[in-house]
Amino acid sequence: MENDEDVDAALAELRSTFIRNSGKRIEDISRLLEIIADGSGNPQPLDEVMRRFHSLAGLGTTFGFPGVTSIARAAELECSAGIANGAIVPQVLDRCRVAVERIQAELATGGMPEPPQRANVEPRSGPIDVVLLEDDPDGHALAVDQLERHGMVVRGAFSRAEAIRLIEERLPQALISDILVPDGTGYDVVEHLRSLPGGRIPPAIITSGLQGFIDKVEAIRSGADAFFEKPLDWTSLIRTLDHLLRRAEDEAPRVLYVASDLDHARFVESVLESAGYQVRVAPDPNHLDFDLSAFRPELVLVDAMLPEITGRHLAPYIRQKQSGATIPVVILGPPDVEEEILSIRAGVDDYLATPVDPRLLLAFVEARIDRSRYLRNLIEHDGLTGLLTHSAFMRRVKIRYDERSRKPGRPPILVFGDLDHFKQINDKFGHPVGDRVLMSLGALLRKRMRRSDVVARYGGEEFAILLDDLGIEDAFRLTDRIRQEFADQEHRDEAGAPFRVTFSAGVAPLRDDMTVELWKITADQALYKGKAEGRNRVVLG
Amino acid sequence: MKVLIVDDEEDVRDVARLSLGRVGGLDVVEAIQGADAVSKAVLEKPDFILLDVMMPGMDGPSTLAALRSDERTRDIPVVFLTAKAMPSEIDRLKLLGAAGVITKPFNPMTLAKEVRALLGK
Repeated sequence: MENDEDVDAALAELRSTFIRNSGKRIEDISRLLEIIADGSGNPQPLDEVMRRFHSLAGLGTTFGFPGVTSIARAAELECSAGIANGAIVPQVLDRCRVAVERIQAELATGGMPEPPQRANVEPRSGPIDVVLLEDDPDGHALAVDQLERHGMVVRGAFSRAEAIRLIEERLPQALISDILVPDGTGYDVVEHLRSLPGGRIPPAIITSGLQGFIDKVEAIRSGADAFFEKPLDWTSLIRTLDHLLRRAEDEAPRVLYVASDLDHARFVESVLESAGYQVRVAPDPNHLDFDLSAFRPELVLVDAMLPEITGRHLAPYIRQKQSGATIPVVILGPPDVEEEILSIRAGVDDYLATPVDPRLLLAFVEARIDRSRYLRNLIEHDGLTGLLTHSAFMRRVKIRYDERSRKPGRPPILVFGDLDHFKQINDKFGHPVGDRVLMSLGALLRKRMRRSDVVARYGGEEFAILLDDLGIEDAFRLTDRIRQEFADQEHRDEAGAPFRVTFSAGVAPLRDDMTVELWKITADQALYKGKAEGRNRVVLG
Repeated sequence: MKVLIVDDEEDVRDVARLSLGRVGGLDVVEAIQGADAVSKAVLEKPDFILLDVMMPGMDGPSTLAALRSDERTRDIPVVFLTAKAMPSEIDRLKLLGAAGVITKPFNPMTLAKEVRALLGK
């Protein structure tokens, strides 16, 4: 290893090369943008623009320009959305130009002489790691059983001290704690978790053996997210936990602001961004369609008075699209009761009087988004298996299909599966046993698939998976490995006698000339070929 | 220990060479694209490969597949270098068989340490 001064000098030299090359990248981008603006609508140059932004994003922070990284990354996303829409929307070009100016300004500041010390922490993956504190042995065993059945890994504790030791050993992804344990209370444990670095993120649930015993104020104060009384309703507890976990993991919520006054828009943008939201300002309601489909906001803020239209008139427009049916729409406007009444009648969720206090705005936005995520979660997930419902799955498939042109490279892959002879299992052992088989399949799929994969209960005993960014051979191997693992699992009937269940599956990559319909048919036919060939197998379509 | 750095961006190669070579004390060889990487890997027999994901022509995952299909390079651990820090992306890359994933922009002073940690060396 060389001495630090030499390295510093070399680094400084690379840094100046980076700044020089970035000047050239910026020139390239400006030139390409002009070509696009003049030109044929050929998306090719935009691809090139995207590559330049990609380079800038990948290097900025390394050389002490975190601002360049964040601006360039946003611009890269804009470009990729622009390409998805086929014809390039003028807005994308405008945004790229703004990004160019901002990057130039960032570079002109000279950046930070010392690159920030940043740890590249890899996000966890795989099954959810839960710490459970329950001192009652029966309750403990039952909880472990329920959680594991839903594909979670449980680290169990019987005392406060033990729970704290487990948490400190490794931060769990969730905590479930009984309220009264011999050496303290569940509140202490939650409070301890919250005090650790990163400890604000994992969901914490408090349970109580006695009705009316939980002091809700105390629970909230300690930092718990939810409380349940015994006998525990495990279905709703797991569902709540699922929702909380999704919230903990979700990317920053997206807010679209249709604004008339750009200065005010910048203010709102900075308030929301500082609280961790992604904000997109849409100065022109004429492009609303594009903004809705490219940005997929979870909440829309609209100024009451827009250049050509009254803000509230946009609400029914947003609502008429299926994807917009559940998006909260909030109007920002001057105090005016008449306008407020008209807005609520038009289907607007809230009317906030301007000037709005930033804290009030944040409280509103957070509550609305959280509620709508919770509802969407309930609507989109099958209660028995925790997998997506048929319609939610098909919506994802459709979105992915529409994105196919902007995502060159590996095509998405559709997997259809169906339990073999499932009707016989229900007939022979009864529906509760059949339901348990479905639950264990759901748990296995959730445990084995990547978080990014879309997994659904497609019908009664049918399931479907949408895989992305995976070669066809890998997709086949993955499906077949799950098939094998499931076939090896032992199920038990009501009398405790073991039996096994298998499934068959068809795997179909999206090919260039396919419609969604044909894609589904291809996967379906592969599945039925598997059935015809003797079941318990995976067939490529 | 020898590392093969594969990235189409000269700026990235330069800073990675500095981080792994001069700071980290490793022998560094470079390739500027996927096909080049495969032949360099055969020739140089590096102890591991730092591979960019998004490259024109043969991208990172295809390069990995090519390395895996040749028995001379099959067992060389590959660490991906990606500008997309999304958990889903990182999971996907690991599933392809990468030994680890490093996100760009990386810290030049700690890159070597991170890579060693990923490889368990």
